[in-house]
Amino acid sequence: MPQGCIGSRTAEVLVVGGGHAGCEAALACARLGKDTLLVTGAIDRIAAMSCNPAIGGVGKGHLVKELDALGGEMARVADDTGIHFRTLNESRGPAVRATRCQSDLERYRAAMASVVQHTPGVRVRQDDVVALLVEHERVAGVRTAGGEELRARRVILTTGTFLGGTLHRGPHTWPGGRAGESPAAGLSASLAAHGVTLGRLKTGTCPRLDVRSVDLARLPEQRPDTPAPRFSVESGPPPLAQVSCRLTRTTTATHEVIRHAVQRGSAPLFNGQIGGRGPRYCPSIEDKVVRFADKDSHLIFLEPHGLDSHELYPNGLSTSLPEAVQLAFLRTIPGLEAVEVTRWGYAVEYDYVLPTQLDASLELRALPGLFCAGQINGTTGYEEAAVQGLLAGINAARSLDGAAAVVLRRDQAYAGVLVDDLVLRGTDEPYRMFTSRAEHRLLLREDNVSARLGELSDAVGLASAARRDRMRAFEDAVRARLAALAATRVEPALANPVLERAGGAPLREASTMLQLARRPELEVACWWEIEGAKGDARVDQRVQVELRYQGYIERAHKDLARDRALDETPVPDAMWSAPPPGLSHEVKEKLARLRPRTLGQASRISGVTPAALGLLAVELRRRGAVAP
Amino acid sequence: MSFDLLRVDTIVALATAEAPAALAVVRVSGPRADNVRHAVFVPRRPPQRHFVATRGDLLDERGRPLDDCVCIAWPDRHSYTGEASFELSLHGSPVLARAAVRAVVARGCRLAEPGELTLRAVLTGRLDLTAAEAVDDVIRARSEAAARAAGRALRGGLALAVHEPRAAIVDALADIEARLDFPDEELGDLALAAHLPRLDAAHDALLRLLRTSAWGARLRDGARVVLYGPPNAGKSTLLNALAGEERALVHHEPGTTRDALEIELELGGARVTLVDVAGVRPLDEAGAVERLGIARADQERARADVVVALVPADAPDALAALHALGGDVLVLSKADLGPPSAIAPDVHLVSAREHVGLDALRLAIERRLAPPDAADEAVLMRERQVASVSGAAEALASARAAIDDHAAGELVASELRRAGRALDGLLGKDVSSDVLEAVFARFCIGK
Repeated sequence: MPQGCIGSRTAEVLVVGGGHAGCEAALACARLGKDTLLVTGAIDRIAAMSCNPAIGGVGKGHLVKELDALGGEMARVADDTGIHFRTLNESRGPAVRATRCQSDLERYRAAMASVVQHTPGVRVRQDDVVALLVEHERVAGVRTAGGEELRARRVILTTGTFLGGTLHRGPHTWPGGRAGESPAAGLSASLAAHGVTLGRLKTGTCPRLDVRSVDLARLPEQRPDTPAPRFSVESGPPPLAQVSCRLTRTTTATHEVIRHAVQRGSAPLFNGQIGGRGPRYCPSIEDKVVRFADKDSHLIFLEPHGLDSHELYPNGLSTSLPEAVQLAFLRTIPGLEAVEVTRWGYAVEYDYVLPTQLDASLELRALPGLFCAGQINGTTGYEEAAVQGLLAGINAARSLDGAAAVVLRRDQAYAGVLVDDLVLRGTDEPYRMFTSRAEHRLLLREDNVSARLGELSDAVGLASAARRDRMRAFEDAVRARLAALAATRVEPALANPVLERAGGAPLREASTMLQLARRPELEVACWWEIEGAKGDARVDQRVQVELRYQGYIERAHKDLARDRALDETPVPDAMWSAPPPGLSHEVKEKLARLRPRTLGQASRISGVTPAALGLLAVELRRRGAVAP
Repeated sequence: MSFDLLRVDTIVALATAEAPAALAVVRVSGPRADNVRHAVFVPRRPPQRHFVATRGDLLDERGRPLDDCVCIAWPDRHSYTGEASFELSLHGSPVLARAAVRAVVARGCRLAEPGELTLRAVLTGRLDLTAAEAVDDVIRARSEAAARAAGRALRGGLALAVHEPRAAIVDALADIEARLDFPDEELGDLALAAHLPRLDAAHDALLRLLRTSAWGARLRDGARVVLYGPPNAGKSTLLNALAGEERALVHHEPGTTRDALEIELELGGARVTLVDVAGVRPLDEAGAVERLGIARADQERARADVVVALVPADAPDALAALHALGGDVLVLSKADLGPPSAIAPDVHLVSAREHVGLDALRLAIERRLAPPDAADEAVLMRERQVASVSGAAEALASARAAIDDHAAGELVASELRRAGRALDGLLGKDVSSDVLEAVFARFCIGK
């Protein structure tokens, strides 16, 4: 390590951006022992939640738990600053069951920023980065607006919506990364100058409302779950007071106002002002009204910004309509008849790096040493950003040590699905995680995250020993419980009263608890009743899933065996410079561009047939590379 | 897509062309090769030794003799592929070869991907492929042949035939997935019952398609129509009359036809191989050579697409004898020798010599060879297509069972996805992205 030359303008890793990706990246690098400099346009805005004050959700809660297992920070901070926790999909099956919370937005920001600033090895600096320094075809640092050169052997770009950002509201268009902050100018041109291809995306946010002008008492309440579900294995009960959200809905009058504005040509989304592609699953309210004209009402969640805040986030009302239209349609919504707006909704267009230019470690192939994470890679969502920041940080740090990159498998983590989708398939709309993106969904559950990632986490060594011990202890407890269930004999006299009440067939002869536990009609509470003692609910629920899903899980594992063999067969990069003869021109071109690292990655590129894959395997063998 | 680089599966491939020839060679390789061999091949003089060409009986998936063949087995590390393997040299009928492949598959093997046996040789280090081009040639030859055989029209038809079943799967999945991924949206309660008629229809359509596979094989290789009956029943005369040429040696001496005689002709636009076999009679009445012929006749009958049974009209109790013989088409032959003592509506009265009743007989055979209902849309001609469609049908049935059990949506989705992926293999599509498209097209989702 070049300790000697580290000064204020030099670091081992430079992180550009202080959002959810940047924070995780900087923390990971520093905790893995790398001198890390985080450069942000506004230190006060580190870890700001630009959009809704919430973390988690279906697919996203899974990501946050995976991040926790690998040593990320988001889960802990969310647990500490959450004011409303829920488990979604409680009744739809354990694989899609997911944790979500409302965050106290300001407390979240402050808590995360505090961790970043107090973690040894992280230095924070406020500056505008305008260009990359490239030497010997590798990234060597960045140049600031003031002309200063900040040097580092690894640079992680986490520019969010700031890269060439343009904001839109009504007829107005102005440069910005988000409301009140200027964009990262110049960096796009610098990336392009070094051969990086950029695309343009669009997203938007809702107006914020003054809670004192809203008639909350009239509106139905959505209460948090008790006890509160947690993201991190380390967290205890939530320290903050837990509050409710409120529900309301748009009316035909709302839609009339919006439709009228669209017809007048004052909607930037429809009058040609915005060209970037927005997320289909996070449409603006004008989008919903136009595209689903037959629906005369849409559900709106009124989410508090925080315990000390007077602002509400009306989830479902993302818009870039003019201010007057925003106010007019808001006031047609029950409970909002006299609403006052604190901040206006707007849309933002920004540049992103086509993620197929990255390899699976999130490093840009064209510029070794340069990593990208978060919205710059075409994703949307705090969770998607954070987990990429974590992985980019881990991999940047490991590459300095000459260690192999951490690449998660698709059957191992949603984070693996995310990165694999991005680097192999790319995206032309903001990419959000859905559980339906995971072909091995039944294996990727919140409840088994420590089984999926515990060993890897030990190897990476980023998560604290305490966190890893907890995960190991949990898995040990699950194994012990399974063994105990198998070893416990149950007499019919003991079990039958419980079975009868649960509507199950009675026992005729003695059985084991394991046999009983497999019965679908017996909930965990029934096990305890038969056993005469209350067990650990988390452990038993996990055991129950394993037992009930055994058949499906076994089949999934069988389907996996071959995919996994492919994923474990590395392909040297040199292969793509001189691919084997016999491949079609189209496949050759794709492989040369995407440069998959394993045969498994190659197999997921569209157009790569089994025959083409066979050729690659043969060529691998011929070149003396390791083949199974 | 999957490729078995760990060489987990035992694989089977037809090593010779799928066309009539003197011999057909089926090659099996992989960890379970020895077990599979013991299950499908019974040597004449056990025990069978490695490296030695051994004569014996090949058994079909139900353990019935399929062919008299030669088998050579190699131990691990000493075969072409470098794995435990064996080869079966069969009589060269494509139908027989495919039946042999099916028998081996039934014992736990998988059909090899094109070029996969060669790939194994490379992976085990057995074959020092200084050039991957050789494998490339193999692969290309195979896929061109495949392309030729399938034919553009036929592929179009197949895509069309599975389009609606796949659309039914995608739509049901979209309904389930939208609710799983967007629980806070007001999508209403999931009413899987509404999808059941369409999913059941999809399942039926796939089963119907599966039933075309036998016909698909016939379409490619021609059907085998076997003339079967006692000696001197006039089988050879009938063969000649149907074929319109003197082909079989006709003699009044019973047992003239000792070996099977084959002749190809067009019947109702389809290629048909008409097989004339030795006359069958109780073995104790037959000589040694004739017995071989009778055994061969029984084999031919077992693998025939249509069995035409013949008994001379003037034989004692001819009708009863004919019914005892059994077959797809029943014929009282030599009608010119005199009227039979009894006749039944399902029996054809034919005089080959006088050309009486031949047209009706031709029609009866054609009807037996007529395609099943679904075949006017699509026909499954390849074992791999059959595997895809039957995999999809099986997964659909499993999804149906999960729905009936009120299983969690994620389990139903998991089975439907399996069904969709099986069809994807046929069409080269991606069910995952289609489901997301359907979700966003149909539901107003997102906040």
